[in-house]
Amino acid sequence: MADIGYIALLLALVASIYAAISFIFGVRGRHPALVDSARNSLLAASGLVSISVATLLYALITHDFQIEYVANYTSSDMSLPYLISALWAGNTGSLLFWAWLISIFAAVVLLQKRDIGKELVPYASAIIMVTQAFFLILLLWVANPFQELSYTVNPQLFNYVQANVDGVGLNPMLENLGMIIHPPTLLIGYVGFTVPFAFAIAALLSRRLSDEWLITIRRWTIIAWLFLGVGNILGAWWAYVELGWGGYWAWDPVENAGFMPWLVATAFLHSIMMQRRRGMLKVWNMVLIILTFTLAIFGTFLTRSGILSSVHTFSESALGPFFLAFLGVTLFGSLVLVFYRRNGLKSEAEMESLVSRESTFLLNNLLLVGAAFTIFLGTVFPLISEWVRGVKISVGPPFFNQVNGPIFLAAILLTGICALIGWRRASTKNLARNFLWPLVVALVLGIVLFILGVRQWYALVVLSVCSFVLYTIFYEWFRGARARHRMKAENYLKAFFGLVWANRPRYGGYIVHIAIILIAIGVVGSYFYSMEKEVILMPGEEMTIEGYTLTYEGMVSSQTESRITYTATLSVHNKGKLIGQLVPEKYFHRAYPAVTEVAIRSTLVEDLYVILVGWDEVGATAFKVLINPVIKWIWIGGAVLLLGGLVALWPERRRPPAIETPETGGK
Amino acid sequence: MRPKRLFIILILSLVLLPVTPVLAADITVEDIAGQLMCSCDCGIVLSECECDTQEEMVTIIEQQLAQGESQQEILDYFVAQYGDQILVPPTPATTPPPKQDSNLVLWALALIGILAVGVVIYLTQKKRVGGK
Repeated sequence: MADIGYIALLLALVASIYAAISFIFGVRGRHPALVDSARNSLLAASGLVSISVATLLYALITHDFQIEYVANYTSSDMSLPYLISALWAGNTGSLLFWAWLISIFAAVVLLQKRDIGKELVPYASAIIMVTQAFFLILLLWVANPFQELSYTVNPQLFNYVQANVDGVGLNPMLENLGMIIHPPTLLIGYVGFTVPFAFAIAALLSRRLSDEWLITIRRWTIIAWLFLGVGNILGAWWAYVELGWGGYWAWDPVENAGFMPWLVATAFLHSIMMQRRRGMLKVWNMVLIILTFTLAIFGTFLTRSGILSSVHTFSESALGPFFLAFLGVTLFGSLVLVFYRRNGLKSEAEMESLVSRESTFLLNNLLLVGAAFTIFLGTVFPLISEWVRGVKISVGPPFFNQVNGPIFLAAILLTGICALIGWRRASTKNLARNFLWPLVVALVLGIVLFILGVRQWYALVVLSVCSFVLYTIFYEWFRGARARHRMKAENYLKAFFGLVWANRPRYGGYIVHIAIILIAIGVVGSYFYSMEKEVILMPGEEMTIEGYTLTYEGMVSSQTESRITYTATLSVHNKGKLIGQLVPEKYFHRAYPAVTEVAIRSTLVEDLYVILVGWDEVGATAFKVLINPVIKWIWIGGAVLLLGGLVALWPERRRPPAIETPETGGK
Repeated sequence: MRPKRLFIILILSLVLLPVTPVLAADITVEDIAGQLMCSCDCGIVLSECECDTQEEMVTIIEQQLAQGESQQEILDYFVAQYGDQILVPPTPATTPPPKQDSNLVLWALALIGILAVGVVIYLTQKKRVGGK
C-alpha cells in the first residue's frame, strides 16, 4: 500500500518537472501544443499527489502500523476526525499536505476562467511546478511519509509497536478542535502565497509589467492572507484553551513565523492600491510579494529544521539545509530578476505632499514591514548572537512587546487618519473639518475612561485611538449611506447594505479594520488588567478573586484504556449568587506527560480561567486562577476579520465585458 | 549608480543572513533524567530517585525519545506541566548568563532595520527609481 503512495509521488515529480520545462519552452518558442501538453502534465501531477495523500489517509484510517508515520501519530482508539488530522500532525505528513495544496492550487490557477493575465499563466504555472518539485524531492528522499517501520529505522518506536500492538497515538495536547482546523488553515495561507509570488515572477519573466498580474492575483492574495490571519488567531485560541498557561501568544519562533508573512502581505495588499491608483511603488510591490513568499517558506524552515526550540517544532530532521538552500535561491534569484527588470517598473507618479493619502500608505508600509523586520530580528537574534559571539541570548516577550506595541498603535491610528485625508494633496481647511469630530470623540472617551478609573496611560491612549478610528469608519459608512439614501430614496439600512454590496473590496477592508480594533482592545485589556492567584484548597474550602468566590467541591477520577483523568469541581459564586461550576482536569496519557485541561467561564467582560495545578494524597489541591478581561474580543475580532475578508472576496455577480485588454488595460 | 549599489548590498545582506543549524548529538534517558527533579517532592534529581513517580517519569522520557523528540522538547514538556521547579537548579559555577531581554545591539539593529525599510520605500516611490 505504501508503495502506491511513494510511486505516485515519484511520477508526480516527473510530471511536475516536465510541466515546468514544457511551459517555459512552449510559451517562449510559441509551441501551443507543448503548452497544452504541459497543462495536461500539471493536472496529472495534481492527480498523482492526490492519490498519494489518499494512500496515506487510508493507511492512517486502517491503522497500518507498518508505516512509521502511522505508528508515530495514531493509535487504534483514535476517532476518525483525529485520524484524519494526523495527516498534518507530523513532519512528513504535513509536508505531503503542503505539496498536495500546491498541486491543487496549481490546477485551480490553470483551470480558472480569466479575461486578464492569460499570458502569464504558463510562466506562473512553471514557477508553481518548480516549487512543487522541490517539495516532492523532499518527500521522496529526505522526509518520506511512507517510510516502513523496522528495527533499523527507529528501534524504540519499533519496540513500542511490537509490545503494545498499537501506535503511540496523537499527542493529547493536540486533541482539540482548534488543532484539527488550525494547521490546515495556516498551511493554506502559507501555500496560498505561492500563487501571487508565481504571478509576480511570471510578470518579470515575460516583461508584462503592467498591472495585469496584480489584477490576476488580488483574490488569491486575499485568500492566502485571510487563511493565514485566521490560522494565527486559531493558534492563539488553541494555546489559550489548551496549553493552560493563561496566555495566548508568547512570541514563540513559530508563532512569529506565521505572523511575519501576514504582516508583509498586509503591507502588500495596501501598497498594491497605490500601484493601481497612481502607478507608484512597482518595485516595492515586487519586493513585498517576494518577501511574503520567502517568509512563508522561512516559517516552515524554522518549524522543521530544529534550529530554534519551540512548542511547535517537529522532531529534528535533515530538512533544514534543503529549505535554507531553496530560500537562498528563491530570494536571490527573484531580487536579481527585479533588478534586471527595473526599467519596466518605473514609478509613474511621485508623492506630491507629505499630507496626503499616499503618504499614509507609505507610512503604513513602513510600520508593517518594520514590525515584520523587528520580529524577524528578535526571532533569529539568538542564532546571530551565538554565531558572532558564541553566547546564546534569549529574546523574550518584553522586546517584542516594547517594539511592536507602539508600531501597531501607530498603524491602527493610520487606518483612521488615512480615511480622513484625500489622495494627492489635502488642504488645511479640509483637514481641520475632517479631523475635528473624530478627535473630539477620542478625547471625550479618554476622559470618560480616566474618570471611570482607567489609569494605565497606554491603555487610555490605545482605547482613544481605537475610538478615533471606529468613529472615522462609522462616519464614512454613514456618509455613504446618507448619500445613497438621498439619491436613491432608499431607507438607511437598505442604503447601507447596497453601499457595501456595490463596493465589496473597500467595505470588506473597513470591516477588517474594525476586526483589528476589536483584537487590539482584547490584547490591551488582557495584557494590562489580567490578574492571577495561586491557591491550595482542601475540599470545602473557598477562595475569592475579583468578586468571584470559588468553592472546591472535590475531585473524581475516571479511567479509559489510554488515560486516567482527574476532574476537580469548583462552584462559582459571583457577588453571592451561584453562577455555575468549573471543572478543570488533568489527565495522564499512557504515552505522554500529564495534560492540563483548563476550565474557562467566558463573558464579554472577562474570562475566569482555572488551571488544576496538582494535588497531594491528603486532598490539598493547588489551583491557579486567572481573570483575563475582554479577551473574548480577540476571538470575536477573528470572526469579524473572516467576515471582512469574505466580503472583500465575494465574487462579482457578472464579469464586466472585457474592455480592458491586457495590452491597453490595467492602469 | 548609487541606488543600484544600494540595491545589490541589500540583496546580498538579505541572502547572507547568518543562519546556522545546530545539530544535536544522540541523547539518552539518563541525559534528560539528570536535568530533571523527581516530581514526588523528594527533592532528589530524577536519575537518583527510587520511587514509583521516578519510573513513570522515566517511561514518559523513553516514549518521548522513541518519537524522536529532542532533549529540549522533552524538558519543555516537563516545564509546561510542573513549572520551572522541575528543572535541576544550575550549579553556580556553570550558571549560564542570565536571560537578557533588552540588549543594546538588538535594539540598535531593530532601529537600523526600520530606518533601512524607510529608505528603501522612499527610494522606490521616487519617479526614476533605479533608472538611468
